[in-house]
Amino acid sequence: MNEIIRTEKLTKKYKEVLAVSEISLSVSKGEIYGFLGLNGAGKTTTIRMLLGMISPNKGEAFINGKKVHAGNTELWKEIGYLVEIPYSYPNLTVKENLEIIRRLRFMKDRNAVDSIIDKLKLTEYANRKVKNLSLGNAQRLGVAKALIHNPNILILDEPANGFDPAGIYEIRKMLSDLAKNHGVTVFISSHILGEISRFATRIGIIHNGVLIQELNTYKLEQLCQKRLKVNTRNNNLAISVLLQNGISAVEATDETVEIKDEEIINNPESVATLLVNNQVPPFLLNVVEEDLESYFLRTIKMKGDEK
Amino acid sequence: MKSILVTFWAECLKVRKSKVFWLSIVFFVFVSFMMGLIMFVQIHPEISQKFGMIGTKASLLRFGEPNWQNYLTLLLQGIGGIGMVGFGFITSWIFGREYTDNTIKDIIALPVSRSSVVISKLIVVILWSILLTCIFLISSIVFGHLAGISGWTGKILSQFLYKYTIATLLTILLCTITSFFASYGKGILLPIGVIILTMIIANFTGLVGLGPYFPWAIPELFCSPPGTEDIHLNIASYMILISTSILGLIGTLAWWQYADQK
Repeated sequence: MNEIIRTEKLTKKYKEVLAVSEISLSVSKGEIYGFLGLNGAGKTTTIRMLLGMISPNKGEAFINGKKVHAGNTELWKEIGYLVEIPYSYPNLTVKENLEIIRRLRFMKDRNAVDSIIDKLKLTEYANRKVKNLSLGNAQRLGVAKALIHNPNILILDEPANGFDPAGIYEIRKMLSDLAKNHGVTVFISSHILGEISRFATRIGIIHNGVLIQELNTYKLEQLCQKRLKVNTRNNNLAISVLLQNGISAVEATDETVEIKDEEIINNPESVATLLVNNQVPPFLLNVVEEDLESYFLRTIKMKGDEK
Repeated sequence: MKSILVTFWAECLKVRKSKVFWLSIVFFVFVSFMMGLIMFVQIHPEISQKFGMIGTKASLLRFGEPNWQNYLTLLLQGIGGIGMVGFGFITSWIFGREYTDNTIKDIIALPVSRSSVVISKLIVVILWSILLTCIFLISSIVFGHLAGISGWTGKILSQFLYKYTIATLLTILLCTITSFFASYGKGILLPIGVIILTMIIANFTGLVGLGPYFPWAIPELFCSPPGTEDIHLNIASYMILISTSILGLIGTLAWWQYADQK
């Protein structure tokens, strides 16, 4: 089966607050689905519904074709998960916390705990009580609990929280490897948008409980706006030269000249020639691509303006 | 069954490694020590003044001769009271800690069923309560002997043990209501509040003669001095208490299974 995660009009309402509204999405085997949204957008609520922790008011969620509900314990054998900040039993050691998860997952391999401790670089802290761990190592323990049984499906809610840049890179590399080389399906939520764009194969943007856009990374590249940044010793003169030659240019907030014309962006040397010929030679010509963060903010703003 | 075994193992580890476990033992031993001390002061009234508050308390608590018969009656009333608070507290902690430590989400989407987690927790509550009861009994007997109480016979003890065991079981049965409130309240405060409230109501119902029909008054009434409990308790009292316990169990299981675990 290719479709691993599917939701159909998943909706959750808390009294008068519509937390998640009719979310329908589908994630295929081996995909890394980045679920993006601001804090309070509905990411965690959706993830909790996918894990049977809360029941939807409307709609259904399916994992491996089986309907998600609290009593479907068989379903959780193949899933590793991490929801928000991964708390563990504070008076137990790292090893004891993992041993609990190993047993509750009916895993026979007694070496699984040592193996995952090693993989997540927690060996030094294996016998340390969780209450004495740093935030980053507590997060590593959370990831270890999600990965201990080598799941086929990973549902991770903000897994990068608490990690330093090296830790984020490490986790990103690990998840990419699991998806590419082991066919693991990853559903990952985050509000660190630039982070997700680096390794997700598909992205869903949720805003105010509504899935406002779904796109793959190729399409994202196309949608992200490109601009040509030009800098000269006299930008006012450069702008008037460009305008006289029919090229729309404005002064940007960073005091550079900005051009959005696609044809010009694809041929930046024409601008260089023009400016040199008019005695305002550029010392900077740079094609800047909008990052996911700006794209995301632009998208949710557009959505807000529509309302 | 396999689910119960693994969840029971996990619950035992969590309890064994907690400070609360050892503090509960210290608390029960301390109460039995205080009871022994009160007897000691009664046996030696000449030193009561030296003990200040304890001496005054011991003087106020005169319940007849300081012999084993009366001491064990005091123990029975003791287990009714501290059992209600002590067992209630450990139940609140076992269930409520999953919410206060934010670990609940780690144990509800696993191959083990949620009902097996609840049942294992309740088994641990029962075993822990029985352990505390035994510790309370043994330490009380030791402190009783150290205090020099007279009139120790095997017959008195066997009569006492029967009542002590039943009183303990009746108190433990009420822990399912506490487990429900710990789950519903997502912590320890609500169930502790409920325990305090029920104890107040139990005293009030006792005053107006409705004690036999209020579940939280029944264990204490059962522990009343010989010859008075039969006047109050009847088959309906036990039925009410058992029904309350079953209701608490169903409520806790249903809450874990169906309520949103945010």
